[in-house]
Amino acid sequence: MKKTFSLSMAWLHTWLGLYLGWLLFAVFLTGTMAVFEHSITHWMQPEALVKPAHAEVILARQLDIAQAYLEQHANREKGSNWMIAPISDNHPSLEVRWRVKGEAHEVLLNPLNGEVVSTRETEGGAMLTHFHYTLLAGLTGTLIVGMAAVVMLVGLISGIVIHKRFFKDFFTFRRRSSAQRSWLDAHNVAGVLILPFLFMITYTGLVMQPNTFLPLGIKAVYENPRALRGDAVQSFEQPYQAETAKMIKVSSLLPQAQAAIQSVGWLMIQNGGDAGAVVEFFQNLDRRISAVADHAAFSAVTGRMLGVQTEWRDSAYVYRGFVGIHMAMFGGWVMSWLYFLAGLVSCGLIATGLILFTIKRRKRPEHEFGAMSTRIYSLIEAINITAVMGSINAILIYFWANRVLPMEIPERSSWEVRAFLLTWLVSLLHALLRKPLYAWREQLVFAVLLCWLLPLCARLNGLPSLLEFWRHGDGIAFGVEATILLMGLLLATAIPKVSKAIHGVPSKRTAGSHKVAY
Amino acid sequence: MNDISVVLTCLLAYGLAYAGMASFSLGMEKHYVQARVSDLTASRKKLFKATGWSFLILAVLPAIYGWGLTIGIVFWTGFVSLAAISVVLVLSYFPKRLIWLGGGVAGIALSVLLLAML
Repeated sequence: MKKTFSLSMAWLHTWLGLYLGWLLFAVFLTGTMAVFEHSITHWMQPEALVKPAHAEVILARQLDIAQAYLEQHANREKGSNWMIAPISDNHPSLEVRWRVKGEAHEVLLNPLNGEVVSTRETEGGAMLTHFHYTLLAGLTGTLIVGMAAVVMLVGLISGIVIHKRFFKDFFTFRRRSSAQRSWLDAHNVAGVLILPFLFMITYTGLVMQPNTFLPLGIKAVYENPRALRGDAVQSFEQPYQAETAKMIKVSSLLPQAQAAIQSVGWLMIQNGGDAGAVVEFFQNLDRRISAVADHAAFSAVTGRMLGVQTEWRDSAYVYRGFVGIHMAMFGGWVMSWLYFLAGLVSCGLIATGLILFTIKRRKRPEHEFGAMSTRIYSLIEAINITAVMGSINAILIYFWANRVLPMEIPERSSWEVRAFLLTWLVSLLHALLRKPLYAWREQLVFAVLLCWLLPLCARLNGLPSLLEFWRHGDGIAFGVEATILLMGLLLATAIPKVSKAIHGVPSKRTAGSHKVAY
Repeated sequence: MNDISVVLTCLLAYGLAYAGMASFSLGMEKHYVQARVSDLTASRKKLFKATGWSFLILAVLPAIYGWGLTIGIVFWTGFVSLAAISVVLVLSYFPKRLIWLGGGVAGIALSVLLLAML
C-alpha cells in the first residue's frame, strides 16, 4: 500500500506540477516583483525624479498643495472620492487621485512648488501586481490563478511525501553530482528551506479572496456581499447636500488626526466642495501585520470630528491578517527584501521542477505519450523555456518598452502591456525552432543583455539612469535599476553552465558515459 | 528605529540563526565530514543539536526586541530560512569555512547580545 501511495503522489506531483508549473512560474515571478510595486512604478516614471528635498517638505504643506490642486481640477459631484497620498517610506511622491465616471485620474505634484509633474503614461508596477492575481483576464484569470494555487498546495504536500529524506537531506546540495542529482537537490533544498513561506503565501493567496473563491458562504449571510465590509469598517459618511461650501484646509486637522491614529498614511475627501464634504485620515499600513488602517473622519467644512475607528472586530483582524501577511506591508524595507528573496527562491523551485521533468526523460525516456512521445517531450521542453525565460524576458521587455516607446503615441500604456504579452509568443516560437539547450542559452543571453543595456538605453533616450539617480539622491529609482543589473548578473552565471552542457563536458559521476543534459 | 539599528538588529538575528543552522548541519555525519574530515561522535552529535536549537531560540530575541512579538516572529522565520540557505551555499562552495564562519558569527552575535542586555 505504501509503495503505491508514494508512487501515486509522485505521479500527482509530476503531472500537476508540470502543467500548472508553467503558469505558477509567471504568477510567482510577478508576485515577487509586486513586493516593490510602488518602487517599480516610480522607476517607470523617470520624469518624476525625487530629490531628498522633496521628502523634507512637511506633511501639512503637502496636504495644502494637494487640496488646492484637487479643488481646482477634480470633479465635484455626488459620491466623488478624492484621494491624497503624501510622500512616505513606501510612496515616493505626492500623488492625488479621483474618478470621473469610473475613469481614474492620477496626478503627481511637485511638493516644493505645487506644479504638476507630467510623466509618461504607464501602468507601472501595478500592471505586474494585476497580472499576478488576474493574468489580466479579470475574474476568469483570478479563478485560474486560484486553481493554480490549489495545485501548488497539492504540489507542496505531495512533494513532502515523495521527498522522504526531508531532514536527512536538509542541507544537501550536491552541485557537482550528475545533472539530475544536482537539479533534484536544488529543487528539494529550495522547497524545504522556505516551506513556511511557500505554505503561507499560497494559502493566504487563496483565502484573501473569499468573494471570488467561496462566494456562496457570504451570500448566504449577506444580501449584498459589500455589506460584509461595512460590518468591519465603520463609515462616517455624511449625506450629499447639493450645495457648494468652502472647505477648510484639511492640514489644520492634522494634529487632531495624528493624536487619534498616530501616523497618517493617506487621506480621502468624499463629496469634495459640497456642504456635506468629509475628510478621512487613514493610518499607514506598516504598523502591524493585519492590513487594517485606523481612520479618523472630520467634516471638511466645519472641521468637526465625525468619528475615529481604532478598534476592530477580531474577525477583521484575522481576515485582514491573511491579506497583510500576503502583501507584506509591515516590517519596512527589510521585510520587503525578505519577501523578494523568498519569492525568487520560489521561482527557482518551480523552474528546477520544470527542468527536472525534461532532464529525467532526456536521460531515460518513459514513452508516456506512446509513439508521439519524442515530439511531445520536445514540445514540453519548448513550453518550459517559454514559461521560465519567456516570463523573465516579458518583464524586461515591459521595462524596455517603458523606456523606448515614444511619449506621444496614443494608448501608450497599453502598448507597454502588449509588448509584455507578445514576448511570450516570440519566446515560444524561438523555443520551438531551436534545439532546447540552444534555446535556453540564447534566451538567457537575451535576458542578460536586456538587463545590462537598460541604463545605456535610457541614456540614449535622454532619460536619467543609474548615475543620475545616484547623483540626485533618488534612492528608490537607483535601487530598482541596480537590482535589475544584479538580476542580469545572476542570469549570466547560468550561461556558462548551459554552454558546458551543450559541449558535453562530463560531470564527475557520469564521466564518459554520455552527453550530460545541462 | 533608524536604519542603522534596523541593520544591526537584522545582522544579529540573522547571525544567530546562521550559527544555529551551521551547528545543526555539523550534527549530521556527511556535513561534518565535508567541513572537517574527521569522525562525528554520538556525544558531539547531541552537542551540535543542542547548540543549534539554542542559537535558533536566541535569534528570536533581537527580532522581538526590534519589531515586537507578531512581526518579530515573521522576521525570525525569514531569517531562519535565509540562514539555512546560506549554510547550504557555504557547504556547497566553501565547506571548510563553515566552522569558522559559524563560530565567528556566533561569537560576535553573542557578545553584541550580551552588550545589548547590559
